[in-house]
Amino acid sequence: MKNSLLFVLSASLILTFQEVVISRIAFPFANPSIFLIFVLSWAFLEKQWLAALQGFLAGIILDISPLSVGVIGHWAFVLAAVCYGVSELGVQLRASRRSPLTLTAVVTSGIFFTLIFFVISGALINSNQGYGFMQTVPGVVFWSLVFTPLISPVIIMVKRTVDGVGKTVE
Amino acid sequence: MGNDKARSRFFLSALLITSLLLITLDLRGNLPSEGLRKISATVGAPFQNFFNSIYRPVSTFTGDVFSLGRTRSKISNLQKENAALKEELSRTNAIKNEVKELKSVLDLAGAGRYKIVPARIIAVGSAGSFSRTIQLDVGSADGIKKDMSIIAGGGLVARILSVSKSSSIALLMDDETFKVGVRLESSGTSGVVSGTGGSVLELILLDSTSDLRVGQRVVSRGSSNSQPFLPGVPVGVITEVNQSAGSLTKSAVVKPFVDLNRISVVAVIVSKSKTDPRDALLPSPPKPTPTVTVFVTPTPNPSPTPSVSDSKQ
Repeated sequence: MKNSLLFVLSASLILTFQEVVISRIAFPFANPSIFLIFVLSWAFLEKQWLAALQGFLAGIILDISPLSVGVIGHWAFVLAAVCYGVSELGVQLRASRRSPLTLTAVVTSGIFFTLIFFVISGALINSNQGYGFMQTVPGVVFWSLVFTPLISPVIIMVKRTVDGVGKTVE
Repeated sequence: MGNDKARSRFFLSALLITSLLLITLDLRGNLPSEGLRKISATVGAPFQNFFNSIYRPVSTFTGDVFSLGRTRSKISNLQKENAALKEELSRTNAIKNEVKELKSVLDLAGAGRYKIVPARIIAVGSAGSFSRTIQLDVGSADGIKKDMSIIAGGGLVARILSVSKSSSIALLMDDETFKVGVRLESSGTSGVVSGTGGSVLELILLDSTSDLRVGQRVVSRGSSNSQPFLPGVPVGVITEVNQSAGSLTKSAVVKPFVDLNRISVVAVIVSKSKTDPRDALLPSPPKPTPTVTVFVTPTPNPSPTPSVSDSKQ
């Protein structure tokens, strides 16, 4: 439980950083999503049910973000499902779970599926957010390829620390 | 392990159902989404301010770095756009000037009740003959004939020398061979104004005893049968009077009302009015600028100070 609380706090801070700093830098193609990199990386290192819960909470954070205009619950739905899937993959790839290369490959494809899933589910619930996202998908995926290897060692280190804290508390 | 997986799937299903429930509630408008986002904004504000304070000093740098390529292409596009706009502006200004000139010509023609044919100057001067001539885009097809007067907004400009079907050549007033019979405003004293090849004209009065002053204005006297010149067309203003004792004639320098080097639109008078407009076509005289005169009256000092010699005594 402590893990999830720390995750929510970190995710909130990273989303704020994303909105205040990253999104204001005019990156070529599209802006990288540090928030999604963090959430999916965390999910990759987490147990399935916790990954699903944390994905759901991360989605709620995104949904109620002041800059969000979509339907509340949309991101929660998408991220709960994707984070569960990413975690499931992490369990399958147990041996190389903490390798930045594996993490990069999984997170980048996870981001790609997240955005595609968001667009498709958005079309189903008629949220009118599809076309804009479709245009940014290649750019976001490209930047996640660049940023994940840079960020993932920090995420892995923080996750280890948090897991240690969680174990001692539990 | 199998139980864990089933539990995880069950948990995931519960989360997905919760999400769908939230989506449904929000779509139906039963969820205070705006209020939730306001709360989120309030909670996140201190963190946003913190990140903003970090980001602000480096924002310009990052913006420059990441938009380097785009900035270059943007600059190039803006330069092209600027050049196009400058060209358009220059064209618009030229059209504006032509409209302004045409309006003043029409005003003058309207005041003199002249029937005119507006014309555009399509060529200036003839380097071969060194004469001050212009070519107009109107000719005999437009009713133009030799020796017709040409006016611009301020007054007389030239007279038609030769006419072809679609164009005509005119002799400008400042050409040395140009001569026009004139009379002075109000007094009616007659004289002849001729071109000097420069920016001013020369006036020679036929009566040497007549009064000639700087500032007097000159209008055309009119030729017999109004060809080439109509009566009452403004010519210029006297700027200098030449006083030479013993001379049989009096002369003066006249500055034409029209700047002959800056005209682009003129009008050829094709039909005169039945009455002589006299001085009615002259522009209203400029108002004299009031001069400020300061009078200083010395006031005597009420308590005179003792002089040095007084103090010595």
